[in-house]
Amino acid sequence: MRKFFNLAYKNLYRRKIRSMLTIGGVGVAVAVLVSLLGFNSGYRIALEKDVSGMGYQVLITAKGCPYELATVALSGTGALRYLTDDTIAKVKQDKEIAELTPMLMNPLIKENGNGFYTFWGIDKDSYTKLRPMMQIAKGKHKERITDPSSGKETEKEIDGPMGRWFKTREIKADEIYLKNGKVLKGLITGEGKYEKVVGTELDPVSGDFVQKKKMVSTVKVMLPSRVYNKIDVESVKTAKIGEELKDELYLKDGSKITGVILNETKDVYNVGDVELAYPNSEEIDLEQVAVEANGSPKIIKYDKGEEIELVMGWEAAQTGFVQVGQKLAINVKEMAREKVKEKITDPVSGKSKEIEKEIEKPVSTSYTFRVVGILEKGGGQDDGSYFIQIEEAQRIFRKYKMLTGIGVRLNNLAQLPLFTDRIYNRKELGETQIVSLAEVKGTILNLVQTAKILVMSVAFIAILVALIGVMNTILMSVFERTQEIGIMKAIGASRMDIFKLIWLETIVICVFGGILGTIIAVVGGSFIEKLIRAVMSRAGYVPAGQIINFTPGIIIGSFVGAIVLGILSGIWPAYRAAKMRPIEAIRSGE
Amino acid sequence: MENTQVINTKGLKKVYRLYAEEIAALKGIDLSINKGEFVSIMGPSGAGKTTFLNLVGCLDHITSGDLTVLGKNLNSFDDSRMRDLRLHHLGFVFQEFFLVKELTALENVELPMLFADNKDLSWAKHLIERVGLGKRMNHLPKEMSGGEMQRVAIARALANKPDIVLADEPTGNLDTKNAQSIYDLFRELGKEENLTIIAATHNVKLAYQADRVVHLREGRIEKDEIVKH
Repeated sequence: MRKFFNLAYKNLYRRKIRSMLTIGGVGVAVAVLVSLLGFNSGYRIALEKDVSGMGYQVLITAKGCPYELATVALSGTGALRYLTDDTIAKVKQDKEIAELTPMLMNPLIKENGNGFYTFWGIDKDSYTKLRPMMQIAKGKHKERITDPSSGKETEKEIDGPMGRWFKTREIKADEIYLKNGKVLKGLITGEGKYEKVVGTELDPVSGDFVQKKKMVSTVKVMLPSRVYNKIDVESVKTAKIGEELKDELYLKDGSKITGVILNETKDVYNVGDVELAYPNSEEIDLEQVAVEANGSPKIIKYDKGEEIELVMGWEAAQTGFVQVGQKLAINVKEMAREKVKEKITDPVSGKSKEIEKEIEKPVSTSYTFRVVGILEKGGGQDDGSYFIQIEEAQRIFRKYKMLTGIGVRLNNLAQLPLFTDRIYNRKELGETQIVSLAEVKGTILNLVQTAKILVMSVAFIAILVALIGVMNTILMSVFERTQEIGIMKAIGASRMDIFKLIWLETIVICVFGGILGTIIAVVGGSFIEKLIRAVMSRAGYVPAGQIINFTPGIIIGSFVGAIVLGILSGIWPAYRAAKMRPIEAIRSGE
Repeated sequence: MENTQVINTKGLKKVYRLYAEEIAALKGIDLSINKGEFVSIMGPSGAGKTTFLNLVGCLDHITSGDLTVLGKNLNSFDDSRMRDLRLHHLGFVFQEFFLVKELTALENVELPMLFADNKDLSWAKHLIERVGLGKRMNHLPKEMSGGEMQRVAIARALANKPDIVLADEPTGNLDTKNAQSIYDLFRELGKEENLTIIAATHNVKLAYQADRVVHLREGRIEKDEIVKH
């Protein structure tokens, strides 16, 4: 057999270029197959890892929010919808809840426009309880130590945990004391000015009545507020609730709203500090605000300018060369609303007037953090994420009392359908949607499955082409060697001998092709991974882990596949050769 | 053992069918050849020399008559039994040498042994040395002259220690000097190995170096003469 092999090899070597091209063809087919199988296995593993890495079984999000969080990071912030944080307490009432953790995800567009920083506002205690795999990394590393007295930074090599989790701080809402004794709690986001009509006045020159305007200073505040139509309101009372003075609106449907009336027009009440309301940006006239003894408005800001402690995912820290203890400034592009004045000309009267318009415009912003810890590598999306305290995130990203999701672990997962029904049947939770992660996985796997069938058919065609190619090459070489085969038969080669000889040639081609293809696939794997990632990220979700995974099984399997290909494609040419009659074959050369 | 018949034919006929036409290549040959005989087959083209060698060499089936080779009646032999006979008892030498181009001289000689599943390949080396190519055994056919290639072909024919060697115009592609040395080699080896050699040739001078010359014409034996040396 060894001699036969030698002969087969020599025959192929004689037709170097043709053999090489055929091997190349088989190689490409095998490379395609290996990559696809590797992708199939890798993607599944990466997806499982992503999903099981979440640690919670159920995610509660706002209705219509893209439930795969990674999708959000890729499709941009525009797709995000928020829950208000009073949802936590309401969901908590359900008996099936074992643990829950509120989360605010906030993707920030990098200043260069090249991707996102994915920030997670989390409640450390409940979060780490649900996701115990989120551990601070350990090992030899360098940390930066700041001397508290001099403020000087030094670098120190440490073998141990890479910092710690951030410390949970108490963060209170900012308070605005109103002259009427009521207090507004929210997040002060800035100051503003606008022209307010304060009355009409007779102009002594023209004799006309003109509007009397005055520039009014305001304080901008984010707080849960809602507008109520006066027709729906039966009566309004002011009552002391606990220590605080509140307005109570008795609605005609029998319900009672407790809050603070911010302003009132002919038709509506705008009420702030209402439960179950979405935080809105309100402008409060400074005139309404109480005054301190020194004459300044009585506004208490809880922003003490303290450093925000940041914990980073492994990948994020690695790629940014970030060390524990260092200060980290993150430059991002944000869309800011800006009021602009625009002159428009009335096409009929020809008169021009100025109108005020709000536009969105990208501005560069910088956030500064103190890196206090780096997380262990998990292989999931967390590796590239940034974690800060949720209240901190709500404050700096101006998402006051807002959440993107609540991760939930149930006492018994089997009760999920009943739990879902209960939540959906509660009116006050009408804005929520429940996503089971098994469902997410199923949806994505279905998509991948569909793609797989398509891609597999491409692989099948590649293999078919390779098969025909090998068969053609060998058949040609059989015809070319008709005379030689005739001689071999004349000197005593059996049909089986000839069959084996020709068959071995195809197998040699396919073995080399298999080796070549496997090498191409493994060496080119990272390139193919990048390619797939680029293509898929455009389409939606890509798991964070390695999505092409070559197991020994795949490599051995494809190799065996290549040999089977050789065996199959060799049968016909080998049969043709074996069947030749010696004298006719010999004579054919004359 | 001397005078044992190795080949015996009675009314041997071979008819080829070419489309609707029937061509009788052999029209009844009665011939017997003894062990150790060196027989030349002579005749013009189309006389049936090659057909006769092919039939005796178990490469083709007879049309009618009787053909006995080494005591075996070939009339009832199928392809596989004919192949066995070729492999173990017959050796072939062709005008065009027909060596396998990518194999060395030695490997070419080993080839029939490979088909016979013969593990002891030292005999091949001995044969190569015997035909005077000891120094060229690792050369490829393209590196050798016609005479050398035909010597390799003769060594290959002897690889499985056959009883009969069939040579179809073995010197047709060689010059006079090489042709003569091939015939010398045939004669020597014939004696050494007690071979029956049947060689078809056009060359009268060479033909009469054999023990016996059989003349064929139009598919029949014209003359069968014993050569006296």
